Amino acid sequence: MVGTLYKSMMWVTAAAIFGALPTEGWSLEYRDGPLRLRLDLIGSAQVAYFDEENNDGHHTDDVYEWTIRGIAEYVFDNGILVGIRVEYDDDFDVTSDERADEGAERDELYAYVSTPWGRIEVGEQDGPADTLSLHAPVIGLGQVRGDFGRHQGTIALLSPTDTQDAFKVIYLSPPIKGLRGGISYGPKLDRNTNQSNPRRWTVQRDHVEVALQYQNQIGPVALGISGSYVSAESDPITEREDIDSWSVGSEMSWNEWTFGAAFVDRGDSNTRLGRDQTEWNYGVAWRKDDWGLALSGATSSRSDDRDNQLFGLGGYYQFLDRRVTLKADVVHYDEGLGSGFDRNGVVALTEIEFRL
Amino acid sequence: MFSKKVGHLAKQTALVFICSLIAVQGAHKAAAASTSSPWSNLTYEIGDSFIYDNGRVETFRAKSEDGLTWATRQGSEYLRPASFFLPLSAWQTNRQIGTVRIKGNTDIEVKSNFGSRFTAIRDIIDKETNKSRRSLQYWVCHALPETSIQVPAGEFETIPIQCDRYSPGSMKTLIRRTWYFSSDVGHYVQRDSISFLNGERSTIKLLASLPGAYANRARFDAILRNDKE
Repeated sequence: MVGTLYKSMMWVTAAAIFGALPTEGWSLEYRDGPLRLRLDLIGSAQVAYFDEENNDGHHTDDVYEWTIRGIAEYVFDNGILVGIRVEYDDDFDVTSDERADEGAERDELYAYVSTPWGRIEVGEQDGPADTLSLHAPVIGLGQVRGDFGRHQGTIALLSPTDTQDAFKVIYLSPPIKGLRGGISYGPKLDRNTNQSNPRRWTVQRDHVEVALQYQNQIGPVALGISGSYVSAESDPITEREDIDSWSVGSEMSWNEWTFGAAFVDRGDSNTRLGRDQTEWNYGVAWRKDDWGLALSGATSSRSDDRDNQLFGLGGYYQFLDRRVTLKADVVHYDEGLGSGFDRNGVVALTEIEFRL
Repeated sequence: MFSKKVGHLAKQTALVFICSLIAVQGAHKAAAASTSSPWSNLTYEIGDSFIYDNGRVETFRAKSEDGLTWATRQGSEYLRPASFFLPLSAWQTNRQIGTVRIKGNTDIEVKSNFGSRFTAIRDIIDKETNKSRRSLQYWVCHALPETSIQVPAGEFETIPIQCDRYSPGSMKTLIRRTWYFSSDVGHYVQRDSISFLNGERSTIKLLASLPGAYANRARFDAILRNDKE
């Protein structure tokens, strides 16, 4: 009942807004000299179909999501940029007729200062180990590290176990002969602390992320390599291991093609029983103007007898002045759960996204 | 165990990187000086023109304190600093008036490892609404070792000037432009571009340079037509 109401409201609102807009040259952006204010309203409807062997036939799932993103920036006469960015989102799973989280929640909120000698960010957002790590290229719904994981299977790591959107202070260096780096520090990361059992909590302190990336041109190819590392101390009450994770990756672009691969060592990070997880990921993407396709794979192993094999194909197409995007993914997963048990299946999903 | 060692190494690498950054800045300031670049004292005659294989024509019109005024093949004028690799200083189209102020070091010493790092502050006014908007470009440029290159206009000894534009939003390098300057021609004879976002490339090469007395629209058209044939 709530799901039907939610779905109806979303479609009526989207239709009303899109029907009232001119088809081109319109945006929720205000610019006046050095000041820029921008508001992005994004709504999406996703349908998934999945089929898992040994799991009772086919299933479908619908998820509706909206995001509000606001940016305010000011460019001073001396070329220094200051700004603030905030993002809220909410999603609703129709099949289970419930929200996937605690309702509308703040995804990111941070302030920043950019100069030619670097950028400092303070607030809740992804750290440099996430943003500077190179790996298999993913587009649209994210293929092996994408939305299929909302419905079934376990997503790939792609980069080191990061500190998500926990509060942190970040410094991003400018490129110096192709080399740039980032470092961040955050005092605390709390997740799932509303659970009664502290062993289900994620409580970490003093998290540090360090990342380096080198980019250069070799003949007709733009080549990049990266290395990143994350550390944090877990609260003993959770009985989980400290975060100690790293990755090395590479990406190569040639015309519309991008190739990428990475090795990730998660170690025992944030686990109780000792996981010693490693992963190889690899992929290729092709992007041109308003559309793109990507193919990626990931192979991970952990705890001697567990593994996860993922293979995903996906794409997107944008139209109506890029305000509407169609996305689709097909992901196959084959997960060894230890002691001879495994689960494997396919998730096919498609999404339409409206952006103002 | 191995992971912890790598972690330790990563922390040390980060420290070394930050120290290097500080050292490079210091050394750069210390090295700032002296020898002028070969393009800083160039003299052009009015009408001197450079024709490139993508149809681009640059015709010299005037010199002032603010820089050099050039004209396109269609006759639109724009102002550019003597250092040709810097962004345009001013231009005008049917819809917009654009001005750019450069902040930072724009001197490049040819036989130095230290480049220049500068900010281009672009203010663009929409002629219809009279509203302005400001945007930023961060650039770092340095000279590469001299190299000989072949273009339709001939073979030249050149000084390549490599300029990387990077994002104020992420510090990621967005695009690399390499300008090949020839002292014989007194201008750049080739310009390469590559996008680090999508790998797209482009190159323009000098077809011919014409002294002002011989430069006119009919000759430009003939040179470009011959190139296509």
